[in-house]
Amino acid sequence: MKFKTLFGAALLASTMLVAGAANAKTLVYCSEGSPENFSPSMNTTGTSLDAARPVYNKLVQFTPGTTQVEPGLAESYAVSDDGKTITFKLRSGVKFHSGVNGFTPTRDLNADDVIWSFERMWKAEHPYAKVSGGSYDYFNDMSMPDLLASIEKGADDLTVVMKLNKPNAPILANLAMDFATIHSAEYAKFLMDKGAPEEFDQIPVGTGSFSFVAYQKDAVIRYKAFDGWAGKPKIDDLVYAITPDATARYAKLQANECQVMGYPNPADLAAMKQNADIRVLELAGLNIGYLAMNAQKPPFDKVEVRQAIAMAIDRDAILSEVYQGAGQKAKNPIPPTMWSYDESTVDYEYNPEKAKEMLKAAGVENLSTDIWWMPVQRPYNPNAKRMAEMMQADLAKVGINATLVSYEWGEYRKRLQAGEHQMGLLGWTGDNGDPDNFLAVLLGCNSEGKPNGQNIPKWCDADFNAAVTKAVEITDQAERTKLYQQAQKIHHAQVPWLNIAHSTVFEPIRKEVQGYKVSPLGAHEFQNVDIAE
Amino acid sequence: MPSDTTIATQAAPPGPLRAFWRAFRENRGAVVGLAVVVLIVLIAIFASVLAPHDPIEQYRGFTKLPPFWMEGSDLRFILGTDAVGRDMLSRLMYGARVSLFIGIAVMAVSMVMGIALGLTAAFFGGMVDVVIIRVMDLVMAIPSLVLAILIIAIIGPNLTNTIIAVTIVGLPRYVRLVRASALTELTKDYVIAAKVSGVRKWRLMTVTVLPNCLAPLIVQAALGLSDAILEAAGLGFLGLGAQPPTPEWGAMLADTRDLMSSHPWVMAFPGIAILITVLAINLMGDGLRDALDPRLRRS
Amino acid sequence: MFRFLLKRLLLTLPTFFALMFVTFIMIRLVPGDPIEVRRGERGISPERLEELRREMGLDQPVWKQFGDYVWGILHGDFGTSIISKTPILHEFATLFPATLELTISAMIFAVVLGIPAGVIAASRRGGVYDQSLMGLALTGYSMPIFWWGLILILVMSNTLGLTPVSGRVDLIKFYYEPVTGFMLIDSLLSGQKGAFWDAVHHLILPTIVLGTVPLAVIARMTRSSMLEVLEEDYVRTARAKGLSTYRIIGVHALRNALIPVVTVIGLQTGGLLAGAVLTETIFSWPGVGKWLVESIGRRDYPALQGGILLISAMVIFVNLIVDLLYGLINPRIRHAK
Repeated sequence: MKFKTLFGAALLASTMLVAGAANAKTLVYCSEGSPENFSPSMNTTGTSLDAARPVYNKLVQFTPGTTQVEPGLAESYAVSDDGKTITFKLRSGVKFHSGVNGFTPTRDLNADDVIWSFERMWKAEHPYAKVSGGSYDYFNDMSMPDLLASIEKGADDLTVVMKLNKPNAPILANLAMDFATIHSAEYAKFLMDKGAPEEFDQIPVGTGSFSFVAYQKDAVIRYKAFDGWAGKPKIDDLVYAITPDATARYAKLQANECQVMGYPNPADLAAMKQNADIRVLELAGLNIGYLAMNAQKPPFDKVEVRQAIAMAIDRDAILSEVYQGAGQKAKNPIPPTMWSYDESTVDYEYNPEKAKEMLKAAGVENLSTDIWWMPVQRPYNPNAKRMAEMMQADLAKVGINATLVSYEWGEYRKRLQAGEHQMGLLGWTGDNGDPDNFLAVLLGCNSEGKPNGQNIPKWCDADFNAAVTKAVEITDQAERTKLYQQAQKIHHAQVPWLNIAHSTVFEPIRKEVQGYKVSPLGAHEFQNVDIAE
Repeated sequence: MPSDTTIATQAAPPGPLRAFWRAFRENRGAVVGLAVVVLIVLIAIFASVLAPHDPIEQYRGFTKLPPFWMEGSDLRFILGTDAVGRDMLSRLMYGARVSLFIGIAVMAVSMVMGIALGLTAAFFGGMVDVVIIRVMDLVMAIPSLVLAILIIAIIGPNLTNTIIAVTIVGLPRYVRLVRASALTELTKDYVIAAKVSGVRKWRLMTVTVLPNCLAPLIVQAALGLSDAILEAAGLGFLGLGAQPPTPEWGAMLADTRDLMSSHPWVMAFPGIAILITVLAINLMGDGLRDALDPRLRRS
Repeated sequence: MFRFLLKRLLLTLPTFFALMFVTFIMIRLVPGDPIEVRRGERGISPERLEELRREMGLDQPVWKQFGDYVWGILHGDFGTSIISKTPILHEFATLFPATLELTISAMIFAVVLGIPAGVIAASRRGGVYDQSLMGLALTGYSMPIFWWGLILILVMSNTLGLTPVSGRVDLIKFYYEPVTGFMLIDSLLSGQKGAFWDAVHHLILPTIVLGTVPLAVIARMTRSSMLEVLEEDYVRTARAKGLSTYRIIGVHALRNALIPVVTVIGLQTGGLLAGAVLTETIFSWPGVGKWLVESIGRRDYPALQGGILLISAMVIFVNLIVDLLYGLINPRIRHAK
């Protein structure tokens, strides 16, 4: 059995660790679930990406706590004038973790590792392309196969030249995303020779601030500090305690069984803020929760009906009972922390009387419709069921009879994308902080005027589409801002979806924890964290 | 399901109702159980009259109110309100309707199917028997909650499907019980006598044998009722039972799980309702068993 | 004895095969798709979906998939999880000890408290002890355990701070690798001071919650079985000879009264192995029950199939042991055939 040897190695590594760790500083993070594997290129869930992040780096990265792009493994980069060539200069002397899974690197990071990492996702003939059932979702979602013309070694071993088929404004932000993680080509070869390539995605070796120690499914992941290019972290051991239940995570935090926890229960926030041992960090999340109205199904094809529904739903009540204060009412489809946010939008007010009149004027009476709610908790919507129940009651007051519909999560989204709903709840968490990632991805249409798959309201507006299509191909941010604000104005007038809320990301931490920053992108990062004695 | 009920395979001869009542009355617990069950049934039937509020009306601005004895309560909502401001007491009352309906429906369908399959297996024997018993074994071999969840995943979560899933999972107990009782009866003299005198198979099954298998079946049905209520609540707790805004007790519990540490009482009441109902039915079931099983009746 | 065993094993084979087939079909009837479900709000294009389904062999006709599956199992290969890409046997092997440890601990709890409770109740039939013990037992039996678990967490952990909320070990104070997968044993093997008590501490609440129903069933069963035995002639004779009640119960009656109780214990153990789903969910206990339910949600076909098969095999195995024990306690059964 391959896994026996793997296990033996981990055991050896861990006993050595324990021996040397008398007064080690350990930070425990109460995480919400088990990772699928440790290769970010294959994962889309925050849980899995969080688990791999301590081990790895990217060419460029987001400055912790922001959506700004800063140099990572590339110490510098240059974009050509036509926007189609990017040249990365790699740092020299970047070390890979040594001793994990019996692997000892013989060389530092170079261009081969970068090319290897991208080609795994890109080229079907790559030796690792099919390992672990390889499906490289983000790489495809970000249209990288269409964008990339070539990735080659430059003038020396530490230069990488990336050529694109067309200019793309958000490309650097995209490369700061986790899918663009740089792996060790040497480790890959080592495992291939050993005949165990699938271990590549289970036992990660990277350049990050923490090296992998052990993982027990549904229980714990352990890392130890690594003195790499970014310097040795201040904590010695990093532990992810996998605790799916939010109430249990909070209790553990209170008992100092963990020092940082993700995804608190909104209902518990009040008590957490009272607790002197706990600091509750908060940051406006880069997300939107919305109620889509299917513009291809009458009567929602009438803009007056959509506006009436926007006025019939008491979003303030939803904010207080569903988000319990952990969110802000949304008036635009992009969050206010994102550049190009249109401050001038005047939100629809809650006015059931007027809504009733408008419905009557539009000839809609005794409407029977549906509201779909997703069966899972999402960052932008802590309780879709409760939200749908409240909307159902609100709509009843203006004479609309809505039944509640739900399906298993994968099925739910598939049916929404197929446009089977009349009204449906969904939302989005941003990937890279670019407005294109919201407006074009979620509301865009193709050249024939057909809605894209992600376009849940099934709404196509020629002016809106022209604006967002043009904005992605120019690099001047002021110019882009104008276009995106125009798009937001159209969205407000047309209400293809009712903006409900941008949830606030709350992260309770023990008061001893220093240097922890909440990420607007939902990442949990620990390289700069310390624990006060 | 306590397996001690299966001991009761040798049923008492069908005595007059009065004798049964006398025996049943001896067990104080059983009488209390019966009284509580009757009370709950009455509440369920007259929920629309008794409940102070509409169970799905949301009183905005009155959310998460505590029950009357706690500070900050509002006497219009005696047991407080839930996360969206619905009256807890009214929801509990209507919830009794849902839970009892599920329980009784499961029990009725299981009885009918259990009798049909069990008698068929016992009378026809051979391949028919083998097939029925094997299928039942199969159902029992899959972890019951996992099986129920699988079934609901296939046919979709709603009230009817909860009944179907819980019925399928519990059916083997009924089938095996009927089959075992019938097989015991079949060896008895009166059945052999009836056979010899040319009573036809159908009549033999339904008129001669069945009544003598009823005693343990009734006990099983009472306990099956409480099991069904518990299982349905468990499914509701996992979000796979009755859909919103139906006031189902298990779903009410699940809905308020996020309020567990901040507003514990919201979670307490549906659980207490389930416990009291199931306990009362079980008390009654014990009484039934003691009254129907002569061996345990007196010593 | 050996032949008896072999016969029993052979008898389970057709059931096992049918089980394999039925779960296979059922799982494929569940709407949804393992690829779709992973994608969250991102979605997937139909072309890409087809491609991935082809790679996973999900586009093959069901009978072919089933054939491949059976062929794999005959070669000891239970398939690979679609989500984590690790072999099912490996996943099962890492999670099963947690379930087994919890089950054993819950059964010990149930037996240690249940049998004495039943005996006391029987020996004081109709008295205060009998009534209150049996009242408690019936309450335990009627308990919705998911609610019971939450209430215990609320009171014992959140309010009183007596027990840990979830998990199996204090991750800051202790670090040892799983050797056996049983925390109680691993903590001792680790040689770390206090590790064992830490592991015990974590087991308390889940044990109580999972053990409540079996405790009630065993207490009730012991009582009724005991009452029956006390009616038998040899006990009456012993009583007539003037033996003390304790001696009668301890020496003569208990041994015979326990025979049906053993069966119940076996059935309950099997039930717990398979049915710890709710308890594991509430306590974030990394066991197989929770894994199975989550696999349904993730449409992880191989995990679900393999998991159900392996769990059922365990249940069958436990039942076999019960039969053996039954034979040992009650020689009449062994000689009868």
